[in-house]
Order: sequence, then C-alpha cells, then structure tokens
Amino acid sequence: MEAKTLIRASQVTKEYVTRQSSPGFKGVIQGLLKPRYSRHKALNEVTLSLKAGEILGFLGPNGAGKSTFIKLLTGIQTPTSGELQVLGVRPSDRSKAFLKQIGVVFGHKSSLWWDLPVRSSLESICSIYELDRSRFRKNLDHFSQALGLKGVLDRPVRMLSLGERVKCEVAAALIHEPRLLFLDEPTVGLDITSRTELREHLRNYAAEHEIGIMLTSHDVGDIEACANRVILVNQGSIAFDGKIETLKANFGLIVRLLIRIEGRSFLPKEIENLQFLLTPSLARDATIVIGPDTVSATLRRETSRSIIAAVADLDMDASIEVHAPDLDEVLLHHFKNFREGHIL
Amino acid sequence: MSRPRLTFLESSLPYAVNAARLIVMDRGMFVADFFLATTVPFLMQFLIWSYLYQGSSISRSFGVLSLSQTLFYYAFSIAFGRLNNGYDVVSNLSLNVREGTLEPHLLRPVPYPLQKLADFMGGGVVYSVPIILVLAVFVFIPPVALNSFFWPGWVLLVVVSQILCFTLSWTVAMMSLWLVRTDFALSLLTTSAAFFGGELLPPYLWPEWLRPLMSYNPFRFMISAPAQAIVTMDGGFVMTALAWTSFYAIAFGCLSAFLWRQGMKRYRGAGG
Repeated sequence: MEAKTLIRASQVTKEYVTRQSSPGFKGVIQGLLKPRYSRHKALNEVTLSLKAGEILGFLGPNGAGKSTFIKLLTGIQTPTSGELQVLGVRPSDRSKAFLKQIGVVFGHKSSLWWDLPVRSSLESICSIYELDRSRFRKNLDHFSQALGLKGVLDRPVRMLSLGERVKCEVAAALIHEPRLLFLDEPTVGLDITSRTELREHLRNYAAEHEIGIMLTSHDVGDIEACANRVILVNQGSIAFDGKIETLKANFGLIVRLLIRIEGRSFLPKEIENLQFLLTPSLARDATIVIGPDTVSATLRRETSRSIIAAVADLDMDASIEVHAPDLDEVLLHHFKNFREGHIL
Repeated sequence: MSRPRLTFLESSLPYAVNAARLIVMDRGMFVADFFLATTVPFLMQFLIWSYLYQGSSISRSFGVLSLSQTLFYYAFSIAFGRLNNGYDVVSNLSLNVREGTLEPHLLRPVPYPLQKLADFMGGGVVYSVPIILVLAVFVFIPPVALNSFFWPGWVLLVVVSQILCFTLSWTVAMMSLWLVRTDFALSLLTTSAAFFGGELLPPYLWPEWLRPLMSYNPFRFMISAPAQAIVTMDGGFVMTALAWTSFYAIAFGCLSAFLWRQGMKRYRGAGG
C-alpha cells in the first residue's frame, strides 16, 4: 500500500515587503514621511511532497529560506502564492485538529516551561493535546528510556544542559503522537554524544511510527544520519531534490586531492609552485588548504587530472591521494557556488 | 486514544495552573508582592488618612466615606491593583517577540492569546489571596450584613475586571508587534493604572472637572470600582460598574483581537 502524502506544496512563493531605512537623520525623517519598501522573495515557486515514514532533510546556506518554509508548513505564515496542503488541510487556517497532529522543535527556542520541572511541562502538554493519561505514561516511559531522560525529568528546564534540553524538546514534540514532525536545526550546539543519540532516536522513531519528519540543519551529519531524501535550497529555490546518494553521485564530479610530503615540510618554493598549480585561475572552483606538510584541494574531477600530472612533474617526492569528498565538502563546494551565482 | 471534545477552556487550564505554580515557587517575588507591594502602600495610606480624619470636622469633609471605610477602600484598591496588573502580559509578549521565541507557543492547539489569558487568570488565583484576607477582616470585624443579592454581582464584577485588565494590557502588548522596544508601553500602562485606577484618591476627591474622567476610565473599573463597591455595599453601583467593565472588556477584546490578527500578518520571527 502506498504511503500517505503528508505535505503537498505546489509553486509556493513567499515574498516579504520590507520598509527600507536610509542612513542619517534626514533619512529617518524621509522614511517617516515617504516610506520606501523593497520586496524580497524568501521562497520562489517551491514544489515538493513528503510521504508518511519519510525523513526529508532540508539543506541550504543561511537565509536560503529553510525556516521560512517551516513557518509556512506549520501555518505561522501564509504563502504569497502557490498551493500548500499539510495533512490534507491548509496550514494557515491553524485548525486545532491540524495543530494537534504536528510536533515542532526549534533548536533555538524552548517550548517548555523554563522554571518548572520537565515532568510538569510534559504533563501540561498531555492536557493541552488532550492525550489519554495511560497513553501519556506509556509514551513518557518510552522517551525516558530512549533518550535517557530519567535523571532530568524532575529538574527545572533552566537547570538542564543544552543537550538534555533539546532531548526534552524532542520528547515534548513527540509525546502527543503527531503524524508529522518538524525539526528546525535541532542539534545546534549539541555535543557529539547528544547528537548521535538524537539522530538514532529520530531514525528509529520514524521507522517504527511511520511519521513524516522534516529536518533542517546546518549539520550535514544530521541529514546524512537521518534523512532518506534531501532537498538543497538556495535563494528560495530548490536546487536539488533526491536521495543523498544521488546528490553525492551528481556532485561526484568533485574530488579531494591530498598532496603529502614525508619526513619534512614543504619548501617555500614548492608551496609557491603548488599554489600556482592549484590557483583558482587553473581550477576556478577549487578550495585549497595549505599546511606545513600537506596541501589539499577540493576541485572538479576534470581539472584534477591535469593537476595530478603537473604535481607529479614537480619532482618533490610527494604522495598524491585522490579522495571522494564527504557530504560536508560537497555542500561547502556548492554553497560557495551558490554565493557566486552558479546553479547546479 | 485521546479524550474527545475538550473545550479550549479545559485545554488552556494547564497554563493557568503553571502560572500559579510559578508565582508560588518564586519566593522572592511572592514576598515582594505580598508584603512590600501591598503592606507598605497601605501603611502609608493608613498614616495619612488617620491623621486627616483625626478629630477635625474639616478633615471629615474630605470625603463621603468614614475613616474605616476609607482605609478599607485603600486596602481593597491596593489588593486589586496587584490582582489586576498587566505588566507581565506586556513584558512577556514583548520579550517573546524581541527574542524571536514566539513560534513554539503559536503552534500549540490553544490559541496564543488564550494561553496568555489563562496565564493571567492563573496568576490571579494567587493574587486574590490578599483580597480574600482583606475581605475576611472587612466581613467579620465590623459585622457586615450578608446580602445574598449583592455578593454574586460583586464576584462577577471582580472576574470581569480581570478580563478587562487582560484585554486592555493585551491591547497595549500588541505594540510589541510594531515597535522595537516597548518600555514606554509598560510605563504608560503602569502609570495610567496608578493614576487613573483610583489607588491615589477616590474619584470624588478629585477636582470636579476631572471627576468624569476619574470615574469612568477603564483603569478605574479594573482597580477601585470593585473596592468602592464592596466598601459601600451598594448593589446599584455594582450593576453600573459591571456594565461599564463589561463594555470596556468587550471593546478592548475586539480591538486586541483585530490588532493581533494584523500583527500576526507582519510577524516574521527569526530564522536559524
């Protein structure tokens, strides 16, 4: 049986109108008497869908429109144009039935009562979402165990570490059994242990409960560990929509070149030669990192061949390694291209 | 799986309970509110009015209330001033907007203004304790005839005065959605409540040309109208005050609902 479509977005555009401010006192007066406005498209004709059981990773540089899209999907904001259906309804109507079926975690923003123990917050959420008490107790036991919350339930939220707080936020977003979970940068500021625990839990939970998860993150590791589909968004438009493997393969036209010298440091002349070879004029979109005994560059595969040959000709007794880049590097490369105005 | 057909009122109850818990838990605020903010102003009024009423027939012409009625008027007014204080309503929304932390609350199945109303009413349960204490002294020390018709009207007046306080404060709080800093809104609210609320002087002691303003402004119905009603035990005044208070509560309710809708259209919050 085909999984249900939870999110259906068609040609969704969100445009902001911002009042422009001019510098100086004269500018302030002018702004008051004759205000000027500028228009900015935060999202531009975005079309996508999300099915039950799917974890969709939403990636993009700062200001790409990720948080705006979450706000549209949760009904906090209304699209300027296009059609948007979440769980079969228009989210901006913000019906009680709709809000009861979604869970949201904003990594930077707490939804819990800051000065009350976590347990009180969760109990309150149980009443707010009209969840049966026995069901609540069962879910609380589950999250205490799965996220290691037993020791923190009776502590006030303000006394928790960031990692503990985010795990409690995730529990609070899931305890009422939503069909759709939005996570807006949930792992920001978390240490590696908390991040790993959270990723593992989200993956297992989505698989067990067949819920849809939409995840935005700056941490590519989150997307790689959890998402089975990824969307790259740039300047409000979708630049890629597909599996992570496809993303990597599509951009496998990139390689990381590592030039290492054994037992000594590079001589200044050698560095100069390497810089000359690897310089952006030869490999326009390469990223070069120069260390005392290593030089690495992320560059397009087609330029790498000539560089390898040229490096070998330098007669430095250096080893040359060619690596497939990890997702982080792929994205770094493409976000850089985004900034320079290139499209995929 | 889930309990059916709970109303908004029931699902907003946890907000009220948590607000009351937070006030009780915060012992510093509890002490400051109950002892410093209520007893010190009362002591000052006690000393001033005891002196003015002392033996002199001239000083008696200050008002239509006896000394004990005047003192009870102030005790009740001060207690109502604390109960119907919208400072937190304005400052909490302002903080949420400025720090961009409104979103998680907007996504609860209880509308945000209703969450805040429940918060306010929950806090009111704790802040009604001083009123109950003054009421106990008022009813039992010089015995008061328990007019069964009067009391329900007065209790209703108190509840509606709280709703008025919330809707008025919420209207002022809406400024947060348009302005960067709302300190002046807070000052405006607290100063207006202190000046127009009748905590300084009962309306009939103001110059004649100011009396209509001091008698019929909304702050008066939040603070000193319920105090005057109980001190004079005037059923007719309770009904008049109830009508005015309801009128203002509905007017500010409609205005704040309109402003909230407009404000939410322009609210963006912050991205990650």
